[in-house]
Amino acid sequence: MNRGDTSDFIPIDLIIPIFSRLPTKSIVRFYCVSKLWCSVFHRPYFTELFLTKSSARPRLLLAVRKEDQWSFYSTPQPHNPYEKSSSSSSLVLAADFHMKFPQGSTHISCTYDSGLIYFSETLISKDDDNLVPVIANPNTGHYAILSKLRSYRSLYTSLGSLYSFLGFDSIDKQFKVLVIAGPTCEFNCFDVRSEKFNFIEYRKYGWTSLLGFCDWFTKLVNYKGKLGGISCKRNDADSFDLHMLVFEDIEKQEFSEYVYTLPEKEVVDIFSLSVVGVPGEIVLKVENYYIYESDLFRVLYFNPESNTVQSVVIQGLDKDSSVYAFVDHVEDLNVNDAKLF
Amino acid sequence: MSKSEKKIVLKSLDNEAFEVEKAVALQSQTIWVMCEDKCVGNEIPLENVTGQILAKVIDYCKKHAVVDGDGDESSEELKNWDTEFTKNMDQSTLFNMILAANYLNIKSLLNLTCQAVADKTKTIDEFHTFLNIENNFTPEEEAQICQENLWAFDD
Repeated sequence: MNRGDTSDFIPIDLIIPIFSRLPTKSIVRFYCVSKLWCSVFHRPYFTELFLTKSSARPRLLLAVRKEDQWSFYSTPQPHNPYEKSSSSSSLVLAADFHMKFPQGSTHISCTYDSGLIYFSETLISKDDDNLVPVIANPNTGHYAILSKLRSYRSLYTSLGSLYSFLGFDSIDKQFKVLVIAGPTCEFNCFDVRSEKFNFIEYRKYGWTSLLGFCDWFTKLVNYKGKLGGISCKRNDADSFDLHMLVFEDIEKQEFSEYVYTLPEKEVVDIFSLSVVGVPGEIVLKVENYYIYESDLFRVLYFNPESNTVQSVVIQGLDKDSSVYAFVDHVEDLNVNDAKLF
Repeated sequence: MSKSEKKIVLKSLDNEAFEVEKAVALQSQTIWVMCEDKCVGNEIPLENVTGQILAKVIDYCKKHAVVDGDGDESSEELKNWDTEFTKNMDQSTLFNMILAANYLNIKSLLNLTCQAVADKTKTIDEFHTFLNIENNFTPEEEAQICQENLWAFDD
């Protein structure tokens, strides 16, 4: 076969699956190879296939803050981290660098869902010293200021604290920001695309039970598609328990509670431990929230069913930085679409 | 089952015959269906696959048939074997392997070979070579696309 015969030789329905395995960066580069391929890569058929392939190998996204600079990295999420549960050694993974968030600074954390990072307040340019809410794509560095949310913020910050989180509504396929505002804990939902607010009647849905369960250290998680909260507490035997509350039916206020005890050797200090998320059956925990004088960062994959822990050491992050981790990072070509921003 | 029934003969496009264990050949869904329907005897003609490629496909199937019976402790070893298997194949062989895996309907081999081609096609030049296409964007249009997606071109 001549090289030149390839496109006649391999049918297009085999070529497309090949490209669906490439990283986003390669696909975006290939936008400029020819008009035909540019349009093929933008078709919903291709972007959906790409998302399916990417979802089959979800990644752990790491947002690393050093002074005023945010950098984004990711590592593979071990598919089956318990394969080697007999060995006590840590798995060592090198973090893949994505990009630095080029502008200004933010002093508080960020949240993540389905391919987008959300900073509830950040300085976007050196010339403007107002803090603004921003969504950004950690793969590409594209970002957008949520200006209506910004006006809402300024109205409410005078009344007290305001917390906001990014979420993806998989039913309407829309990114939304959940805002908890004011002394009465008013819940508001801000639609990123239409920039409209919806007030949420949370008392009706028994969220109060969850709020009663939550404290500062509780992490809200997606547990097999259900809302859950996990917190870590020291038990009487001086080891650590994970308390998890899962909402089975929000309207009927049915929830299940689980308590898991972590294998002792893995936990050094409760203050260095925080829950990241629950991808599939696995509870994921991070140790050393801040990393000092070392570029190593440790993540624990805890399997409650087998009561085993796989420790994963991640190399290649900046020294003296704080690390935020998010599970199930997928590469979605639709999120890269300039139209979103 | 008698001994002769356990073996099966695969005949390539260029009339090369390969005698293999049935368990090895049945990893191909296409062959499985043929045997199930009893529409073939002990010899199966494969009209889309050359002897050179079929030999490699059989190597793959032999390796995977053995290990599947061994339990999962060798899955790491199998993965390394897969990597080595495709590592030194040239592009034309890989394409022929993809076509063969597709025709014979061996999903894991199709996955492996598609991934191998994807891994070797990361730059624009590699893409052009791969599909032998010419760029029909004007330099201005190309520059604009690059400008819109600067992050992807930064190294």
